[in-house]
Amino acid sequence: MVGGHAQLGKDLARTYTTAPVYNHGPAGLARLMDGLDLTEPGVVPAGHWPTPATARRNWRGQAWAAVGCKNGWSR
Amino acid sequence: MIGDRLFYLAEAAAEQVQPRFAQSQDIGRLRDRLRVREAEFNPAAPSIARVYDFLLGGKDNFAADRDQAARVLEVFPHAADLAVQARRFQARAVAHVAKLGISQFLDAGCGLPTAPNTHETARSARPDARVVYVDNDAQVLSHARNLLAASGGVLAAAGDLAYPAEIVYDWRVRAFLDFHQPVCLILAMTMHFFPLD
Repeated sequence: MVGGHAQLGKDLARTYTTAPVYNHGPAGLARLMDGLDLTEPGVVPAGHWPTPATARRNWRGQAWAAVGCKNGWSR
Repeated sequence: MIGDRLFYLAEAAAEQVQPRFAQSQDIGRLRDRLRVREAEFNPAAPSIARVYDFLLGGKDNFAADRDQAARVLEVFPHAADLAVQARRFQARAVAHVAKLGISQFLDAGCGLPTAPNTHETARSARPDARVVYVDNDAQVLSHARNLLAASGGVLAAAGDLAYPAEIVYDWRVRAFLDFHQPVCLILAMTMHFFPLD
C-alpha cells in the first residue's frame, strides 16, 4: 500500500488518472489489519520487512507492508 | 446459499459478455455485471496492471501506460523503486506464510504475472500449495489463465476488490480453496485504490 507525505498524496491524486488513489500512511494499514496478530516487525516500509534494509531511504512516500495472521499462526 | 450467505447466480445471454457467469448478493449489481464487459482490453487507455508492470520493468504495457507511469515518476521519482520493493516484500511474505504451514493463497488484485509469481514462491516451501489469482482486468486474466493456469493447483478468477464478498463467496473459488483451513489473503499494491474508512 503506497502512502506518504500529504503533498505527495495530492500530487499522485492529480497525476495518476487511471483510477482514484488514496494516500494511506502506516496508521491506515495498521487500522486495516486490526484484529490480526501482526508478525514482527509490524507495519514497516516494504523493503524493511522482516528485517531493516541496510540503507534507510528518506523518500516522500513508502510502500507500507505488514503480515497479519489469525489464531496465532504467526507465533 | 454459499456458506451462510444468499447469492444470485446468472449466465449472460450475450456471447460477448465476460465473464459469462456472474454472482452477487445484490440483484442490481448482478444485472450490471451481465450487461457490461468488465475492464475491457483497451491499449489506448492506461490500466492499473500495465502501469504497475511498467514500473516493475515488465514488457506487457503500451504507450498510454508508459505515459501514465512517466507522469507519476515526474512527481515521485522513487515510484518504480517502491513497486520493486513491494513485489519483493510479497515474495518474502508468501514464503514466510508457506513455511508456517499454510498452503492456500488468494492473491486478490494480482496484476500481470511477474517472476516470481505467488504460486512459484509458495511452492518453493509448500509443493502442494493452491493459489487463486483474482483480478478484474481482462488482460490480466488472459495472461493468468495462459501462463499460470497451465500449472496444477492454480486458478484464475474474475473478481473486483471493490466487492470482496463476491470474491470470497465465488463458487469457483470456494470449490478450489477449503475455507475451513487457513487461507492467506494477499492484498499487494492495491489498498491505495480504496478509502479505508
